[in-house]
Amino acid sequence: MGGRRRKKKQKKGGVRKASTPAPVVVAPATPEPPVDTRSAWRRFWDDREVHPAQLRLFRFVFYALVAADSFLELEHAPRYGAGGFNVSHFPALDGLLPLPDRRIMVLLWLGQGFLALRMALGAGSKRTAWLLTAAFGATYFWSQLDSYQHHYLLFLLLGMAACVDWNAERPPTWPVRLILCQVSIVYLWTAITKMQPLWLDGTLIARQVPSGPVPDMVARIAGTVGMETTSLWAVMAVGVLIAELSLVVGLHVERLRLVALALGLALHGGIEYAGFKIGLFSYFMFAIYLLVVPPRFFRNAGPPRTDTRDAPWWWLAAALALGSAAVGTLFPIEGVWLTVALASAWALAEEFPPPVTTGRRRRAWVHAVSCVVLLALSASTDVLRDYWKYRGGDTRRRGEVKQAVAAYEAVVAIDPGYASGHARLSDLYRRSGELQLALAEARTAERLDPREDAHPARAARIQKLLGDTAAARQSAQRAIELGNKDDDIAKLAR
Amino acid sequence: MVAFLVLQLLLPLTYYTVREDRFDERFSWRMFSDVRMVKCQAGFNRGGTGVTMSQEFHMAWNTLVQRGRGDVIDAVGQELCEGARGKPVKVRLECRMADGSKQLLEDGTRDLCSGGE
Repeated sequence: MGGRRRKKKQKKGGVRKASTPAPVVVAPATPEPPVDTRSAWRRFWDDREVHPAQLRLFRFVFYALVAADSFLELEHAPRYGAGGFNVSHFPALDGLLPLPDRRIMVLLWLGQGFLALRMALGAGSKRTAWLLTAAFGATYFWSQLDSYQHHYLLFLLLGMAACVDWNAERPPTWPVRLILCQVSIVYLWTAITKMQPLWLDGTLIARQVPSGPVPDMVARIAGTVGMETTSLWAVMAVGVLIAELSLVVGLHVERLRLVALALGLALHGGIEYAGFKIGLFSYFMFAIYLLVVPPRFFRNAGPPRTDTRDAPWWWLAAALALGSAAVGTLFPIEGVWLTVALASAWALAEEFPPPVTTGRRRRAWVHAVSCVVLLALSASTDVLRDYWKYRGGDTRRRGEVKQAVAAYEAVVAIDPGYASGHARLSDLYRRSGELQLALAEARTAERLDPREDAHPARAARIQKLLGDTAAARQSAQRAIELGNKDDDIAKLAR
Repeated sequence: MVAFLVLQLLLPLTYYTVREDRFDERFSWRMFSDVRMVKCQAGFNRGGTGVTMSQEFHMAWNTLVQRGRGDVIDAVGQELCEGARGKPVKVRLECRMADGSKQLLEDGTRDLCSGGE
């Protein structure tokens, strides 16, 4: 329409020119806007507006979350291959696939942590992004032990993110559109799932939301507005369904970006607030919504701070050697040395050919920072302790006492203040006939958790086996004072 | 890209059409579905003796069995058959559905090792 109007104006000008005597002053012609001959389909893929700074922020948050998620998975590694049993996501291939092994899972997850941090911190190449996707796919598809739908989604998103040209000045935006299309597909099917009476009448949502702040809030609001609690749950259930269906389309309409952003954040914020055990899923969704923020919010962002300064090779060598030594030494988990060796080898492989967008100085720092981040995660969570706890628990149930003892010794070495670990180790020492060690661990557990009656009771039983009846009586009396009701302890206390 | 999107769009449809196991919701984006509320009790029996699952399989597999996941139940049955030395392996599988009803999916009479009746 605008084009047609402009053409009319030009025609008028032409008439005026013809009637005006010389000197002829030709007004500069309004430049003709380039005619967009692309199809609507092409425009749909190419015209998603994303600010480069927005894309960089998404890269940082998304890959940092992948690193955290991979790290948190480490504690589940002992499940893999335990008892020589596995079912992959493609059971027809089980005869061909090797059995997974906890050490290989550590290698894959910890390796993913390194690769994801490399991507987050801007030193990863496309090769790194694809290797990360492949490693993530291997950990997911190898075993149905991981059946989290969000991990399957994450695998798809990693593949799509690997198509983004992160270092381009104006990267093509079709991968962003693809990510949003995938999210729309998820919303569509999850909405279809909810189109059934048990969801619509609020029964399912009421039963699935864990006890805590949300059920309390629903009961309070229902009381305030004079509604049945079940009716309010039904309203919420229908609201969730409408929100999901709206987002299927809303994510793609430029004018609705702010609305979709608010709706999506409210939906996933609510899910997270409700306390569902869905790992980092909500946070991944928050990361995706960074791509929905209207780009005008990033207009004041500066250009990327590229550090292309070179550095001597020894910088990189020192970062690799020191970082690897620190992680290898301070990360008490099987397979860690092989992982750091391979991560270093990959960092070296990335030097051939050296990327032009970052200098070696930056790449050395990125490796060092990745090691520090992984060590910080290790120090601030119970993941590594729980790795050994779960390994110990499984081997204990399976009757492999020697392996269980070794696992629980690792538990108490990592977390000396963990009373349950000492108690379990005491039981295992007792089963293997190491009564003095068993007693020492029982005493430690009692010291760490003096209000638990099971600890003095445990000590009493061991003391009885050692023939120290006086000490056994004292321990049994202490257990009874703390509320122990076991018959054998009552007998020992007499 | 179109093929990929069409595949992604249609893959979840297989849950409603060709896939036999209603309790296996992988790749179908059925978040917060009624199937998540299903709780099954599975009792494996080898040569007339009950199998203590936790002594033979990791607890995580037991959790999947309790969700009624067909692939896993079949694989557990096959694993038990391999160590059964010709003895029959049977399973009784009863599930409580989201609406509170109970379904007996295996009545414990079929020998999993014979592959049929």
